[in-house]
Amino acid sequence: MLDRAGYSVIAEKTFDQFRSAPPSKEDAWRYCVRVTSGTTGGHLIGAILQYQPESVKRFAKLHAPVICLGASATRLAYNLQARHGMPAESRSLVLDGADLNQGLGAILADYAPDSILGFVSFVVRVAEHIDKKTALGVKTLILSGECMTEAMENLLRDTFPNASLRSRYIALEVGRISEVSCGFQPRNHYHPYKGVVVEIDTPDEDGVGEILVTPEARPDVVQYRTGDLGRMKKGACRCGATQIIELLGRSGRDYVKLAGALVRRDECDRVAKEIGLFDDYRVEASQVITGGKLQGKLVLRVFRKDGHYSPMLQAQIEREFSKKLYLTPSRTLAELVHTGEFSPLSVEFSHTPFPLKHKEIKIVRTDI
Amino acid sequence: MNKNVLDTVQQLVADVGRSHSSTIYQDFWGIERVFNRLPVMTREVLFGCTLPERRHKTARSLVKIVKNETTTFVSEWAYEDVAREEYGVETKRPMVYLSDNAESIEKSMWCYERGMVPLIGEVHNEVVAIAMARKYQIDSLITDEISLERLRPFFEDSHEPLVSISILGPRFQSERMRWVLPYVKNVRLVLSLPETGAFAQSTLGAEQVFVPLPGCIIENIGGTLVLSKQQSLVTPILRYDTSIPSESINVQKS
Repeated sequence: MLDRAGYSVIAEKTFDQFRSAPPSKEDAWRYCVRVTSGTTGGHLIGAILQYQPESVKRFAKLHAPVICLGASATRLAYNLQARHGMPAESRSLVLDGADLNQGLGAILADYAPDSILGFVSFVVRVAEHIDKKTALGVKTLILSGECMTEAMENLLRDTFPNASLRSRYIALEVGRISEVSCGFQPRNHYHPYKGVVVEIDTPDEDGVGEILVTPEARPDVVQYRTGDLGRMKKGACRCGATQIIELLGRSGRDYVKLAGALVRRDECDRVAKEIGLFDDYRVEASQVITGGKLQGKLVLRVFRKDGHYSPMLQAQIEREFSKKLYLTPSRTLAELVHTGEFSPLSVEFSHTPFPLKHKEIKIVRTDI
Repeated sequence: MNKNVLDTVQQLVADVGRSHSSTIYQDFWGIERVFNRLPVMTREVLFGCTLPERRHKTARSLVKIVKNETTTFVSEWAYEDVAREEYGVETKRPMVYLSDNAESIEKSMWCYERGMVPLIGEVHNEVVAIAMARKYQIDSLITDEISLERLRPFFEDSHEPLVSISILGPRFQSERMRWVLPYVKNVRLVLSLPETGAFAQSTLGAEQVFVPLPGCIIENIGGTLVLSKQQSLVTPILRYDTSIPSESINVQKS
């Protein structure tokens, strides 16, 4: 099995080879330079992504897509594929988080998109800004990056009533894992992409385990550990596919993606140590739709060995933890609360120590 | 003024003047079709109208959001036109590091259009940007004044001078950027606006004299630089008020 450390070795080797021998001018568009930091908090890994000519085909029927993704390099990679896959005389608009402000509605009305591609939580945020008439013109939503909750799906279906809602399961390190969803399966269910073998590592009694991926086109990548939990479902789909993967979210050990931000255990550990107001903690993370807007929500459950708890201490923990906890490279929880992207932190006291398991899980996603 | 450029611009004025698509120009020009008698177009007028009203041609294109102190609007650029701009120089491993995300995407696409694979730096994370610049061993850089300063630790720790740095912007404080000279063979200062593209360049030296780029006409009208481009862009730039005070920039006469 290939874990992150193994992947790192392969990626670095590929990166070095690419650097010494860049592609020809004609082939340049098939490559992207990326960094993967390690959502697990590990060291930076340089990655070279190579696209096959067929990967641009998903843009073949899109005339005015909006691309909504987090990292600049990912946005660039999508736009590059749009540029080479869109019909002639089509256009693309690339958004980043800073564009999600009051002026976006007018921008989108002027642009008149026919499709939106990107991370689920990002697209939900765009939905908050789009006016009814413009939203009716959107015929396709292609989502990726995160599990979709029922509330998110309902919001997207309400906002974009004319849009077909498709999603894909992809990982930066290995590329496409699934086909674009066929429409016959519930959300978070996928068929493996042609030429990709998907397996479940040591499934439990419900068949749930970590998803392992082997892309046949990458002989160096065998049983890559995605860090995602899932299970294989039996039976054929009405579309003719014979394999169905149900994606259940991240394995939740080290980090949780949430409302366009990343709750990392090492960052929580750092802040917990720095403020020194409790001895142990757990974080429960979820996404909620409040007044039609997507918000991240964190509940911090803390334990103190001395048993001292008070409303004043609770308020102090709420304040200090929010102020110091970075959920994006440049923004803290307090800042995200201020902009309405997260609801205020809730702090609860636990009067008993948290149970210790073979692998200490401190961050749990509670809404998937 | 170069007669060939002037002739081409005059032809563009005629084309735009009878086009059924970019109606904003006809509304604004009235019956006037002689280039040097056209009224000066302001940002508020040109970009205050909708995209279809200023879309002179359709081509596979990138639409970007332009934000400045006073307004936000979209600007559409055909990839064939992006490729013609003189944003940087062609090298093997360019990096694009700009303080505006939309500009970063466009300039990275410029690299691709010229057959290069760029490293795009994350705007708000210079630590990662610097680490990746080292890892990729970049040999050229497209940046702006603010972002260049953020990359300072990269230069102070680098061994090989870069082939080129292109610094884009509407104005420059050259004295603040001289620190970079030992680390690069050539520093270009490129006068540009997101909605017009590049239009003049200079080298970072003792005296900055900006030379108009090929196909660009720069006039000094009413104390500001007024730009025209001979290229038939999605939104043509014809006697466009850049809002750049002419006294602040030494531009060679077109």
